[in-house]
Amino acid sequence: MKPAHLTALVIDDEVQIRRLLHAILEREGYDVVECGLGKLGISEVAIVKPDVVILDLGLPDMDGFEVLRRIREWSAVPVLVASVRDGPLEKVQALDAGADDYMTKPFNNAELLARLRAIQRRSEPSVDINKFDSGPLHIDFVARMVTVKKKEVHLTPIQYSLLRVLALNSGKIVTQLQLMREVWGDNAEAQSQHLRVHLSHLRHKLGDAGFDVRFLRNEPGIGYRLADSVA
Amino acid sequence: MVLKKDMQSAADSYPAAVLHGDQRLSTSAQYLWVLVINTLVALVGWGIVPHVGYVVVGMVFLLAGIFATLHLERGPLLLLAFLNVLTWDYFFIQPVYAFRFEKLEDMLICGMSFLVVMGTFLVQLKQRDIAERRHRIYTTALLNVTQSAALAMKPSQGLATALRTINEVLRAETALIVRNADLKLPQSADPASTFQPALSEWDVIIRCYQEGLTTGRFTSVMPQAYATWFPLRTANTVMGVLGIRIPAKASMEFSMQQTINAFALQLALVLEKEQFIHALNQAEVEEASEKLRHILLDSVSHELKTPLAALQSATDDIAQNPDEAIHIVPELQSALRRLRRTVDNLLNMTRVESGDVTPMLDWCDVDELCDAAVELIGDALIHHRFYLNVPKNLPIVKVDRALIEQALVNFLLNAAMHTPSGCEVILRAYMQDQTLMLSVLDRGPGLPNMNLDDLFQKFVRGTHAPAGGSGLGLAIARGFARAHAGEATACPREGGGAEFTLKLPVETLDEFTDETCPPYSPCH
Repeated sequence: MKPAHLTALVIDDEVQIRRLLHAILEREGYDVVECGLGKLGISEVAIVKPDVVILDLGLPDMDGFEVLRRIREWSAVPVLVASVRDGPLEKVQALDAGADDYMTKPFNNAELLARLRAIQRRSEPSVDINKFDSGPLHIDFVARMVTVKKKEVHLTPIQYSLLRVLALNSGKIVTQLQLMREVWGDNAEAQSQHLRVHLSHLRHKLGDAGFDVRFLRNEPGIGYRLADSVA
Repeated sequence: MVLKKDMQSAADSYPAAVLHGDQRLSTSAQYLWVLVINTLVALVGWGIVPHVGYVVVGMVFLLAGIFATLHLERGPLLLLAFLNVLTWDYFFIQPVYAFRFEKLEDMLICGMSFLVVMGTFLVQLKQRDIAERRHRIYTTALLNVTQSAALAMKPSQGLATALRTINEVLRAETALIVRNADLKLPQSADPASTFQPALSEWDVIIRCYQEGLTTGRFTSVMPQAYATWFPLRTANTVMGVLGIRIPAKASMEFSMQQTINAFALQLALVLEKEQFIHALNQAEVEEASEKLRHILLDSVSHELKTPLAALQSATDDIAQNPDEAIHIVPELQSALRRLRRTVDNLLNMTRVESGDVTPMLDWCDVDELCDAAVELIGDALIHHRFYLNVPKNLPIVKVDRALIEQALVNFLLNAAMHTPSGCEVILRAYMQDQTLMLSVLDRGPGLPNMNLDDLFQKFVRGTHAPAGGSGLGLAIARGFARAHAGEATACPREGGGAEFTLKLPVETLDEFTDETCPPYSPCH
């Protein structure tokens, strides 16, 4: 599954990391452009028009968040933030500033590629999706039916709605706020404990039906992800 | 105890020394003096009676008796008064050489002068009694001050008790200013003080401290001050200043000043002792931290260098035998995992030590949390019989998931490292009232024979601990638990093995059905 001639821009000040990412991405079929400075990175986005940006937050010339904000002012290019900072605050801040996903260094190569594929999939013009498959899990969006190992799992409307949002964004992190908005609309932002209860029920139901719940991952302090693989 | 004994004997001798400081005569000498005084006065009276009359002679006898009250005890004094009356009556009152009275007033004068002498004696006795009682109070107070200040567990508490005692005894207010380690006075009085000196008072205080003199009110140095300041002087140095403020109309007697000086000396000695102890502790702490630095260096360099060595030789091997590289990869991965854990542990320990752990509480599914922790330890427990015992009906709880996950991971890795393969390890979660209990139980060799609390000290390792491990895992788990106002404990497991538990007081969300939720409003 090699993406055809996609361009990835790597903005990171560590030469070693750039070199490694270059090798990994190239093998995956990406054209890779490297750059070690934030300002340069912003102009490279304009010149190269990459299909995806991998951005480090600790840059020597400017703050990574600032780079992200500047790019977002005029570009919708998917951005994956890869940083050694592992606090939930930083992650949320990066996602709020417009990052599509966040990875903590050191990371696993397979995981990185899976994340890139996921955000790539999301950025493609949306075709009508009417079903979703992941291992034993099958969702028929038209019939609003969920099956695991070909057996129907009975979900409440809220549980179904949550699973649907996660499936549509599969592989990509969905923040708590996004989840709550999708389910309760804009006026239900203080419902994080309810969200947790519903997700807990959903998790138990899927788990009881034989789905490996490790695919339904919680990122502490950020949100949930329906993972492509258990990495 | 030596100090206490000395104080006791001082208390016994102190009032006696003051009261009987003038040389008291022995009883027989006193009786001799009675005869001498009586004879002398009689002779003088005999000489002057022709010129002044017998009534004046009676007055001389009375005066002699009153003076004698100052030096004689009760028995001799009684005798003197009695003899004086008899002598006067026999030799001077008409009829002379007879014990009879002709006039009623003579008899009355005799009786009254006898009563005056004895009355004067009683008044003096009473005054002595009062003085003695006051001294006893002062002495007891002094003893209390010394004991409370010297024997208290916390110096600050002892000082507060000592000052309170002084206040009660002197009916005064006190301020204590203890010098800092740099020999300078602080900007404010000790918290134990019952009044804070006004700004204008500080000149007086500094003068007192610098010159070691009593200054302020009732003294010749700056008497306009509203309190009196006594230096806390020891043989070597001035430890600070003690301020005494008594009511505006009261006066400070000499005995009171002396008592305060005694208080000041005791406080000074105690403070000096505290300072010595403090200096000694400081030295001990420095030595301990030096030792800790060594252990840190040893343990951390071991934990960093071992995986580095593995990486080095593995990569060298790959460079030489590229075809065999695939067999080396697991070694590389395991070395990396170890390196990563050590770095994470060091960073987490630094966070705990610097007090930088503020839990970001959020609602969290305990079941999910335990699953995540198990996932994080990778294959560490793959050779153990590992069971997860997490009931599904646990409420949703509010914790910092990342921190608790890490604490659990550390418990699990600890169990993995200290138990033989094939051993049973259980991760168990349950609620006890409002406390979330997360336990890791094993059937391993059990806990080392040492204070179990020490296991949670950093760099402390069990006596028979196998090689490896930084000695930080449990300390971090405890740090994270405490950041949640909880605790991490270890105890022997019933039936053999060990049990490590995180006890976390948590806010819980009771289970509710979907009907009680906010209404569902689909957006699509």
